[in-house]
Parts: sequence; C-alpha cells; structure tokens
Amino acid sequence: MAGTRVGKRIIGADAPVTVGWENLPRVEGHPFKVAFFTWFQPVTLFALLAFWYYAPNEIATAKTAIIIGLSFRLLLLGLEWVNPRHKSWQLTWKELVTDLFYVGLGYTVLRMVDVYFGDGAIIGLVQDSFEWDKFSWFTGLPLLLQAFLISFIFDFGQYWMHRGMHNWYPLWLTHAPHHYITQLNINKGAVGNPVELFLIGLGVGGFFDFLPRAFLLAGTLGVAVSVYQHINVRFNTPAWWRFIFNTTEHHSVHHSQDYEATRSNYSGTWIIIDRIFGTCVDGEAEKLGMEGGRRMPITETMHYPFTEGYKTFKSWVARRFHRPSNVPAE
Amino acid sequence: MNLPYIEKIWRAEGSVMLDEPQSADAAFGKLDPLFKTNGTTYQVDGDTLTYKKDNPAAQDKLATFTSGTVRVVQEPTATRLDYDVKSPALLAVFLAPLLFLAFGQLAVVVNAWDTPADDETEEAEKADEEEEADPQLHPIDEFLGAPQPETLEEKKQREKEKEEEDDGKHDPIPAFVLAALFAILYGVGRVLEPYLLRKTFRRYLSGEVIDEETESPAQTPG
Repeated sequence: MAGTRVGKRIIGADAPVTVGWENLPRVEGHPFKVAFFTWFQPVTLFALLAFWYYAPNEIATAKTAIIIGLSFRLLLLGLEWVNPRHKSWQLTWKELVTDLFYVGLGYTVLRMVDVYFGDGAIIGLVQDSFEWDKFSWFTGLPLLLQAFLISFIFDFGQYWMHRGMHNWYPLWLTHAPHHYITQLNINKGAVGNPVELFLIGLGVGGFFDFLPRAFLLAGTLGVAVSVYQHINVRFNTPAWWRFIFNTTEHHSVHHSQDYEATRSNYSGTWIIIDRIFGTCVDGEAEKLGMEGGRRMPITETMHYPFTEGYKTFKSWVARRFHRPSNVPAE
Repeated sequence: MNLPYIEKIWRAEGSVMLDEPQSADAAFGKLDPLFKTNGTTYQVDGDTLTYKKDNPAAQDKLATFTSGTVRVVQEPTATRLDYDVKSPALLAVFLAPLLFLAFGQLAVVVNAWDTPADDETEEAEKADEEEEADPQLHPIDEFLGAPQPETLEEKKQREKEKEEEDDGKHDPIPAFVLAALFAILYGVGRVLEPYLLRKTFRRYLSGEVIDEETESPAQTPG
C-alpha cells in the first residue's frame, strides 16, 4: 500500500485511510435527508448553547444536563440506525450491551473511585497544602468565554495526556485496549481499561472558579461536539466545524489499523489543538482496530495493562540480566 | 450437564424448513461463510455440524451464539435444518443486573461508612462564610439578557436543600438504573437474537446471501 504523504508522514501505508475532505463521500438521497444531515450538528449545538445561556436558574441544573445528555444520545443512536456511515460498523445487540457495560462502569464504580482519587480530590489537596484560593477572577468574564476556557483548558490537558499515551509505553498500556475497538458507535468512547478512563478524565479546571452556567455551557460542547468522535453516522459536516472541532472522520483516522494514522487527531473536542501542534490528519478510515481487527473481550480489556506490562517487564529482565550460558569462553 | 429450564437463559433451539430438499453437504456448503470466519473451528460429522467461535468479530453473524450444533434432517418431502446454539453473551447480560445491583449496594455501604463528621461540616460552612461578594454577570451577558447568577444566599439555600436530600457522597441510583437497563436488554436480546439467527440461516440456505462481503448472491462463474 502506497499511502498518502501528509507533512513528513506517510498515512495509510499499513491499512486503508482516505486523506482529504474532497475524497470523502457525502450524504445523498432525498433533499430533506441531505438538508437534515447537513444542518443537524450546527443547529443542535447553537440551540443547546442558547438553551443553557437563557434558561432560568431553576432549570439550568446538572439534573437537566443529564436528562438532555441521555436523550441526545438516544436520538443519536436512532440516527446511527437511519443513516449509518459504514454498514460494517452497524450496532448489534452484543456491541450495544458490551458498550453499555463500560458506560455502566463509568457511572458507578469509576465515579466512586473518582471522588477519592480524581482531579477534584488532588486539586483540593494541592490547594489545602499551599493554602491556595481558586483563581476567582474568571467568574467576571463573559459566559461564553468562560465556557470556552473550561472546555479548551480541559481538552488541552486531554490532548497531551492522549499524546503521551501514544508515546510513552506505560501510558500506552492503559490506552491500548481502547484501540482494539473495530467500529465506532455512540458509546465507544467509554470502552477501555478503567485506568485509562481515569487518567483521561484528569483536568486542571478545578484550580479556577467559574459560574455554574459556564460549566453547563462547556458541557454542551461535550454533548454536541465531542460526542461525534465515536458515531456511525454520515454527516455533511460544515467546513468551519471540521476546521475547529473534532469529528468522527478525524477520530476514525485515529482508530484506523494504520500505525502512522493512529498517531494523529489526539484532541477530544478542539481539533484545532492538533492543527496547532501539527498532528491533525483530515480524512477517514473504515477498517479500525489493532492486530488486523481483533476484538478485545471485556476480561482482557480489564487485565491487559497489567498482564502485558508484566510480560514486557519480564522479557526486559531476561534480556538485561540473563546472558546466554552457551556462549563459549574465549 | 442437562439443565432444561435454566439453560433457556443462554440456549436457543429451533429449525428452518428448506424450500427444496437438499443434501447435508449442499446445506452446509451454503452456510459455509458463517463458519469461515476468524476464530471459528467447526467439524462436520455426517448430517451434523458442530462449531465453536473464539472471540468472534463484532459483525460476525453468529457473534452472539458462539457454539452449537446444526443438523440437517431429511423428511419424506422436505429438508429441515435443526439448530441448538449457546450464548455466553446472553448469560452475561442476564447476570449483569446482579453486578450493578451490587455496585448500588456498595455505594449505599460506602455512604454509611463515609459520612462527614458534624465538625467537618461546620468547618466547611465556616469556610463558605469567608467567601466574597455575590457573583456578577459581565456587561455583555447582561446586554444579551442572560439570567443573573444566583446570589451567595441563594447558593447556600440550594446547597442546604441538596444536603438534606443527599444520602451521601455516592449516588446509588445510576447503578440501579443500569441494572434495570440490562434486565430489559436481556429480554430484548433473548427474543431478538434467536429471531435474527433464524433469519440468517434462512437467508443463507435460500441462497439469498452467499458472499459475506457483499451480502448478495455470489456470481456463478460461467
């Protein structure tokens, strides 16, 4: 496979990756269908932003955010059914229950662990130790700017954590199971080893004080932008959107079976961070996963970082300390 | 081990009548693509095919039923395909609600154990009292008509109400909701998956699907 040169790299030499927006298929069919899948993303984003900007304090609560988030996910599951990007990514009953298991871990035990060891706990400890107060002047900024800062600061940290996972073996061990997913669906973001999900959730936003409404507005960017990373829906995403925001196209390149392609598109929401640091590849891939598309079972996902790490450590020790005994003395 | 009632949880049995009488070899030939996938081992013994799939791909047509037997039965006027298959996935989803109920109970137990002492709560309240003035909206937001942020007094009132409602640091409700969801999904899967399996067998046996890649009848070489 020849691959395509992107900057100094050859993308798609190991497995097929389509590079360049002009080479991707577009939504075809009835004009209503084309209009719907062209306007759906921007309209929902701006509608949700407007809702959170103007909703009275009694309605603008975390509970409402949860209801909207879950309902929106259900709607997106419906869209996956109506207009799938790839038939080979179709959601099956088994994939749905598998994904839901990981989602369930995130909402239950991982959340419990997070209370004691998550970024909130760590930041609280740091603030107590140094008697730091929160940087409260952020609350005086315009709401949308606060929301942008919350989202961007978190995503900036996530970008480097994610890039670190692809470049430093101990971190890669935690992230590798997530790369064994062979198709993208709405809940695939939750699939992975719990250690990774814990690490990727760490952020420094807790050092700053923002208005609660700004958090809800920032959350909207998660609900209405980064959710599309793992979705099996073909959209005619506007050019401005895919220039600044991450898309399923970008993330499919990141999950492709091509090694060089996986080392791109690290951000969660703001693909512009990848553009700034030269790691963005515009395109899409259908064949995803590792080891030729082997599906990793749940049990292996749970122990992989530890067993694989142990195996690597053992072979390192063997290489380092055990010299071949049958080498004749000179 | 024979567990006639309990086995229904993860086992599916059924039969498909073939349109035309055909030999076991011919029927298995048509089903061949289903067993020529990665991680599948199978053997044919006369009219019976036994298969086992080790970690099948997501889109494998038999991904849910990973082992079983398929038998071609010749009747005087027709041919019938009997199948008896097992699904560890169905069993796992059947048991999943128990796991999430356990997580829910764990949250309740940890809440009982990890309740902040009264003096800790008082300290936190004192710290809150040291907070500065009410938060103000930026003039741009005021101009655009965004609602005023809640005052410190309103915030304290809300937090107090929340504290009264709260049973602890960990909310067990998501775990219970997930347990219910898995119970529903088990019911859906127990009906849907055997239905889809039967449909798959029928489509392959009727020659509607031969080529796995294109999902359409393969071209017969001229």
